[in-house]
Amino acid sequence: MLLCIITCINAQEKKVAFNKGVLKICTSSKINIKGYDGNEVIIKKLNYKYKINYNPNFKFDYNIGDTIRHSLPDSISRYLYNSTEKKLGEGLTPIGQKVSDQSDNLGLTIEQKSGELIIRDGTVNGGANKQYSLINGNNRYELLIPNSLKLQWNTSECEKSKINVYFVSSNSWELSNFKGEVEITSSYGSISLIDVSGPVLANTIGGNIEVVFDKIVPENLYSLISNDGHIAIRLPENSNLNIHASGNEILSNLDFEIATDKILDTAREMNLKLNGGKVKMNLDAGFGNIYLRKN
Amino acid sequence: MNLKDYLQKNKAAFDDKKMPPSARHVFEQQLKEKLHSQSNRKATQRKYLAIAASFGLLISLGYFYSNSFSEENKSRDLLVNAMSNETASTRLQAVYDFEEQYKKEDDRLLEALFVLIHDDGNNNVKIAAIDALVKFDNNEQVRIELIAALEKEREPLVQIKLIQSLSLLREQRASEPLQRIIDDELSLPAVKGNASLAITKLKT
Repeated sequence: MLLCIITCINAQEKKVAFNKGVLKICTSSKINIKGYDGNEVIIKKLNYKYKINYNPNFKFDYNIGDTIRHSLPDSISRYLYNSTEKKLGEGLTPIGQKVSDQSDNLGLTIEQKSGELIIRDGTVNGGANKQYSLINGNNRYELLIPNSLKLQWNTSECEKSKINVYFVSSNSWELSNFKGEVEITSSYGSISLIDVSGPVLANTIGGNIEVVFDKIVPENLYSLISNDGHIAIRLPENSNLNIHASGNEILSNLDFEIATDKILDTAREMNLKLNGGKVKMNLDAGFGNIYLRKN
Repeated sequence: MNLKDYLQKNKAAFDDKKMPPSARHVFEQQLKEKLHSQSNRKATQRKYLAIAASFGLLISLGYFYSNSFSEENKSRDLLVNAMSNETASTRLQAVYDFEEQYKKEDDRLLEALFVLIHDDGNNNVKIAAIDALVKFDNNEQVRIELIAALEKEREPLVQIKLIQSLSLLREQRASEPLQRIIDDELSLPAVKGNASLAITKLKT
């Protein structure tokens, strides 16, 4: 049985005063995060035309910002997808069960407790005391976050459930111009980091990791792990790096000193130094390649 | 009659005699030369110096040993504390420092690494700790802890690292947990694939 409840929502933005502590983001929604020197976490929901072919019986154009809830077999969960044509909702107001923080119409649950701000997928009451997560795989958000925060970002759930639910996506989760400490866990999705000073601990299963040091040089610990995707880094040639790299192939046009070079069963492992080797960088691409390119 | 008997017999004739002053001077001169010659003085000085140096060396060695021992303890305590720090990057840096500084086994540090592979909340830290432990392949406790970690781990990326590590160690006792992972319908295909490959390798 497929049940659809359609709601129409307009442009949304929410500001939360929070500049010290840990920002936990636990959502499969596509988020573009930017750091800034401010005191508020600013969440914007992006609206643009999107096309979805979720099911052979359901093909439609829709605007991000609208919602449809599908009831799926209990064996997994229930999903909420943004969808439908905006014009269908014109002049109507949402009825029925609502996401937990409906006032901002973001489709996210935002919880603040001592030293933590937690943003996760919205929940819906499933009856019989059941709460279902609304997994917004197609939502798009832009977040501005203070540089003074520590970011923990999990692109699925932060608390491990018994069931592994993962989302495959061709788009990257992107973080840019952030100066705080970062932990990112992603599954079957790529991670893009642009001018993130770190320390950075990022891992993905089945996704790529792309890092660009455009306006900054690496100065803090970087640990990047991808089981099966590539790791590609663009950096200035005056970077002072001590890299431990493990992957299928390691390719570069930088003038590295090769301290050790081992060919193992399934991978190649190297210790590389650039300009003395001060900043530690650990790169594990599993079966994927590692690309180290100078700017 | 020998000389001894002769002297005994004529003892009285000798006892009241005193050494003449001229002979006394000669005697003292000879005695001084015999007992306090320059070479003897030097030898004695050397002997005293050698004894003093030995004591000095012993004290220095004791001091350096105790100093380096306490430095090593201090450095180890710092690493153990860092491994339980609330910040993931600090814990990770501690594991990397351990790998660079400690080539030999240390029970307290191994215990700290065991805690990380079982309980740490960050995948990068867990994986680094596994990499650090695998180097102690002759340590039975390391093998037991890695098998125990595989049995309860739910994060696919960490599961894969544990599977590859136990396969590298050719740990036959991992076969059962590996088979359970293959049989578990909730295991990710990538994890099942690695587990199947590891079982094949363990059988060869």
